[in-house]
Amino acid sequence: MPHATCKEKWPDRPRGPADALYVHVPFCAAKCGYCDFYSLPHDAGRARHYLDALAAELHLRCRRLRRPLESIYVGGGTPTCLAPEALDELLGLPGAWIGPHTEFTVEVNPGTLDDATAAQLVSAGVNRVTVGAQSFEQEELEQLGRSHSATDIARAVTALHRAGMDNVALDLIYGIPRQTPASWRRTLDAALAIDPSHLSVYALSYEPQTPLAAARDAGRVVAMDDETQRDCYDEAIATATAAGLDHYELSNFARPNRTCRHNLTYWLNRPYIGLGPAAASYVDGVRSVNEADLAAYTAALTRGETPPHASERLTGRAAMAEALMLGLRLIEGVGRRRFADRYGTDPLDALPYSIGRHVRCGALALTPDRLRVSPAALFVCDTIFADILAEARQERPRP
Amino acid sequence: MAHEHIRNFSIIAHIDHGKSTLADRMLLRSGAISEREFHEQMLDEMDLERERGITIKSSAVTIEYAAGQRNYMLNMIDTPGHVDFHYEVSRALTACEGALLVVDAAQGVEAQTVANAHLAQRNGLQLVPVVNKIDLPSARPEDTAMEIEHLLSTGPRPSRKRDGTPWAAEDCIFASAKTGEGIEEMMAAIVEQLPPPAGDADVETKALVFDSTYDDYRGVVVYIRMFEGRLRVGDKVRMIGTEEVYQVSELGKFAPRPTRVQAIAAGEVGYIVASIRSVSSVHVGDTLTLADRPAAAPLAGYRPPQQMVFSDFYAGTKTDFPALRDALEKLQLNDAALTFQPISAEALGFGFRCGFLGLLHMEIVQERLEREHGIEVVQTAPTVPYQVLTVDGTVHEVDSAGELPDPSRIDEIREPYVRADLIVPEAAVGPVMQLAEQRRASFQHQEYLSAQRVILTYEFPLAEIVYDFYDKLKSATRGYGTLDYEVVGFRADDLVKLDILVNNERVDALSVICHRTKSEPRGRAVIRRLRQEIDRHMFDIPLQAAIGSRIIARETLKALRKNVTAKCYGGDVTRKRKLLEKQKAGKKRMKVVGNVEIPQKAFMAVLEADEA
Ligand SMILES: Nc1nc2c(ncn2[C@@H]2O[C@H](COP(=O)(O)OP(=O)(O)O)[C@@H](O)[C@H]2O)c(=O)[nH]1
Ligand code: SF4
Repeated sequence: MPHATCKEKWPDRPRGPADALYVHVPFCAAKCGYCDFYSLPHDAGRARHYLDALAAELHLRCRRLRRPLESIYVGGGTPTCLAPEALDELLGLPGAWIGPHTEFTVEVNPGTLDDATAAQLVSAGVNRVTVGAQSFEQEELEQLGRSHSATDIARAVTALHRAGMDNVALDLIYGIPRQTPASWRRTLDAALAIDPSHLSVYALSYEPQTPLAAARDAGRVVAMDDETQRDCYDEAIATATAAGLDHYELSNFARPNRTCRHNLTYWLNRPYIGLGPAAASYVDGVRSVNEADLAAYTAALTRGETPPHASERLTGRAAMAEALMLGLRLIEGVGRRRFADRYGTDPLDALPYSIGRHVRCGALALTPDRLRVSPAALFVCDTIFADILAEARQERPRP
Repeated sequence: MAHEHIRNFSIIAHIDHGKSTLADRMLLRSGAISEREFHEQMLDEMDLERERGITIKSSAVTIEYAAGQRNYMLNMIDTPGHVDFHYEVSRALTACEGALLVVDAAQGVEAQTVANAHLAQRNGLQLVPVVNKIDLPSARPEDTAMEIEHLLSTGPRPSRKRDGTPWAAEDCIFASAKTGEGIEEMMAAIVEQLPPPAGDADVETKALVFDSTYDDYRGVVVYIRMFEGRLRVGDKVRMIGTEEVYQVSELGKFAPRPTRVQAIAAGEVGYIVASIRSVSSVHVGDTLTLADRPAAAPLAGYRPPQQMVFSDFYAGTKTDFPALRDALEKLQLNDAALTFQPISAEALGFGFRCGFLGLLHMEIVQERLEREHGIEVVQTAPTVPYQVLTVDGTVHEVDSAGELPDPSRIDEIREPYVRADLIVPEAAVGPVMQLAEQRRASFQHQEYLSAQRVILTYEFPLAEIVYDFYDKLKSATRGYGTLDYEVVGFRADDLVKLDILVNNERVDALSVICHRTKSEPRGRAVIRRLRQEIDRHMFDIPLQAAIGSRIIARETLKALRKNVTAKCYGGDVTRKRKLLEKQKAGKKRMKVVGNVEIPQKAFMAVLEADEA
């Protein structure tokens, strides 16, 4: 399988301050019960302020950006719940950074995508669409509090295909209350029948302060047990790879050359700029996150100031551990040479105690070239990452 | 030399029977403290000693008392009130000719009453029985007096009055430290019933060291009872036991507060200051003599302090190692019986193996660290010292399983035994006997103190009572049972080293010495605690208890099935990292054995594991 895909596309050093641009659209038609992303009910007036502020932020923060970018990703929220003119305006903003090879992705909600919108995306230069399908079982969509129906998904994908969009990615969720291994298999089959170029399968997480978590805490819904979730995960891997998709990241599968280049910026620890409230950036070694507050965001930008944000810069072993936390999500793992070129040391020398222990017990596989998570440990890889991060925080490595 | 006006005495009592309050009453009576001070002391609940109802350190005070034409000096020597300080009590009693035996009228005779009375009898002390707290509605003074009569007519050397007749119930003084009733009578009885000190001021000097304290400016203050000869400021003195020589820079008596004098003579009680830097060089029970005119032999009964309980103290999360060391050093200035040695168990970091006279002594040290030094310690469950006879015929002291020699070199392992008196209600005799049996005790005898109360005498391995025996005794007797014990020596038994294996590797810090019959329940308990405290790993972890190569208990900690953040948080890497860091928060100290991470908390939980 084309394992080389991930790294080879990328030049060794970033060409400019950032390789990718993320735009957060903080509006949704309705809030899903499990979601803790920052979004507000859509409202035309708010959207107007938002777009003005966004243009201002782009102007403030992207001046130095070299062009073209590797990737532009418009997510949310639900970008497609904007009115057509607003959406056009939004998609036109990063135009200057789009080149022939730029991946330009927009997230869509199957409930808010029709032929007209699909055509609008294509004509704006969007060349990748990710569809938040989540499940093909009506009951499960209701459990999640999604506003779309199972048939909306097929309709949305057909609309995209008709508009000439050939790079369509699907997102699915397992671990939904009442979901069973059998219903999960049906969803997987239905998803693969659409022949997506990319498939993401995420385990449902009960985020604090969401209606879903409250329902679980009150005993109204029962979370799927870990054992079944693991079975679902294994099933997804088996089904997707049998259908010819490459399992290239923990939760992601792709046709050859259809890996998500945007997410690869994260996993390969490359720089990116995030615009909009709650958007995260990683520029010049500094990670920052805009405050999740649309009003504060627009107010600051109206005054010509950068929006309120929190930031931190990791150095030394902390930065290395973070890079491993990201890079080891890739099935091919982390290239030791590349890592050493960037951080000046082999990962095993920097964090010998945690890595060594997990190599000894077989959770990590170490070859002369690469360090990666063994297939059997993928579903418990946070344990490895937590250990690595903890070691990085200790004063001295213990052999 | 006329000693007729001096009485040297102690008050012996079970905890909380009113010793301190009675002492304060006498000071009030003599005008040494004011009415206000008396009430403040009665109310002062914050003081560590009072809160626990025990006197930690002995000291001395002189009460002036006029009777008829005569002015008396009553030297009261305070004794520590707990079984841990048996030896110190016995030394303090040696410094006296007599003692008040105080018993709470509502509680009756209790274990320490018996133990202390017997100790006093063995030391040849004259006793004056006092029934205290007669003001309490629940007081049973007559019954209590009957119990005292019984107690005094038995024991190692039955007590008599000064006229040679036996003590009878009606001779007991009925008193209330609270109301002041009976205090006058009590003080008269001290003068009438207790003999004045003997001793010749003109022979070679012999003084008994019965306590010491540390003073930042003067160094160690040594409390002494002069038996023979005299001491003057400027004298060169020698401690016969430690062979150290010092020059006396200050001498004092208590009148009632410490007051400088130029000389102290036989029969008197006082203190010396001689530029001694640490209390550990002053041993209670040692004999002090003049360096250039030494006594031929020391006073009888001296032995160096013997630590019978050990526990490892580690710096808690808010404390660092140097702070713990400094605090222990400071405490030791004042507490000669405390020992500590640096250790480092990989699992727990750096700490100290501390030796104590007993459990209470350990608790006091821990509390003083906390209160006086703000030091938080993590401590392992207490253990006892062992003696190992190796095949070459030598005996080794061992205070942890890790120090045991190779099994092939061990001939026998000996453990400390105590002789314990348990005073329990008649109705609880059955359950208490059962409890004793579970603790490998051997029954010595049983005696009725009264129709309702029984003294049970047992010999126990100290290891069996060091941990939670007292709590168990209390619950078997609805709180009425009391216990006092004395170490009687080391005895060989079927003792084994119990090892704990995690993922098939032995965890040294968890090995313990225990009796073969206790090894299996203990092994099970330890493994159960480990299973609770160790996080699941990515593989199944066998947990085993073993004696040598024989596995006696086993459990499996199942592998973790899911721990993954599937989604990517839209590039918010910091958020994801912080979530992962939380997984390990508060688990800083980990030891890895056989690829398994064992948190410090697990070690602590295991070392505290109850066998039940
Ligand atoms: N009612 C009453 N309480 C007393 C009497 N003597 C002491 N107490 C109380 O009993 C408790 C223990 O007294 P204390 O002198 O500290 O006992 P120690 O442990 O023997 O020194 C304290 O709360 C005293 O106030 C008494 O004669 N009557
Ligand atoms: S559509 Fe997406 S962003 Fe909006 S509430 Fe649902 S899950 Fe959250």
